Amino acid sequence: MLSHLVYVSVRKKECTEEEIENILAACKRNNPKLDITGVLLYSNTHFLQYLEGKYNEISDLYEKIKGDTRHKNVVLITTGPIKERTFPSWEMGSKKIEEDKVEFRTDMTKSEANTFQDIISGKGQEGNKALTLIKKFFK
Amino acid sequence: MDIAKEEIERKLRDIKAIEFGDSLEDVSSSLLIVMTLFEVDDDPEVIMACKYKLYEGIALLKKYGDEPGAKEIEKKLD
Repeated sequence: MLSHLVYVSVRKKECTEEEIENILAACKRNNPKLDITGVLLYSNTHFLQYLEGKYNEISDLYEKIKGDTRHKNVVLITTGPIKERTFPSWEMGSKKIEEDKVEFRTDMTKSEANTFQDIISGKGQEGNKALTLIKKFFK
Repeated sequence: MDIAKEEIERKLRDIKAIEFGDSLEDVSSSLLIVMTLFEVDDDPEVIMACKYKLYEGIALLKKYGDEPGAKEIEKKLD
């Protein structure tokens, strides 16, 4: 069953930008074979990850992620079935959230970047609790 | 498999496992996470677990001298 899962966590001080590059590299290496897509959002103090894929796969991945020492206090925010993927072509996109500046750090088309900007700004995706949360958490 | 039931159980486990740490910065970072779930979730058991954890965090905020921060969260809990 196609599902999504969102969690938030506290980024440890030891988790440098280089470590985040390593996380993304691991996502891009491992997620395609599991057919998992999504996005990793992060600030200086927090992570928020949105995963999409088969329920069992994203569920198992979540349990593994919880054991990663680069973050702590991992909390599940929402999970459940979805009709379609929001990020079908993203093995694992990422975005650093700054107060007044947004930089995308993934290979994506202008159209995909626009989709993401729409999500952050609240256009479309009505009823998707997870996407509402993404906006709220990094507001 | 009851996904909804599993979701609630996981949230409860995650919330209970939160350790606030021993600095104001650590406490504030973790409180933001609990407050996020508190504000978006609609399950009574999850909300109650969040409240319990938030009160624990509020006490720590006060201990570390952030009275305004503690009061702001207290208002949301009223």
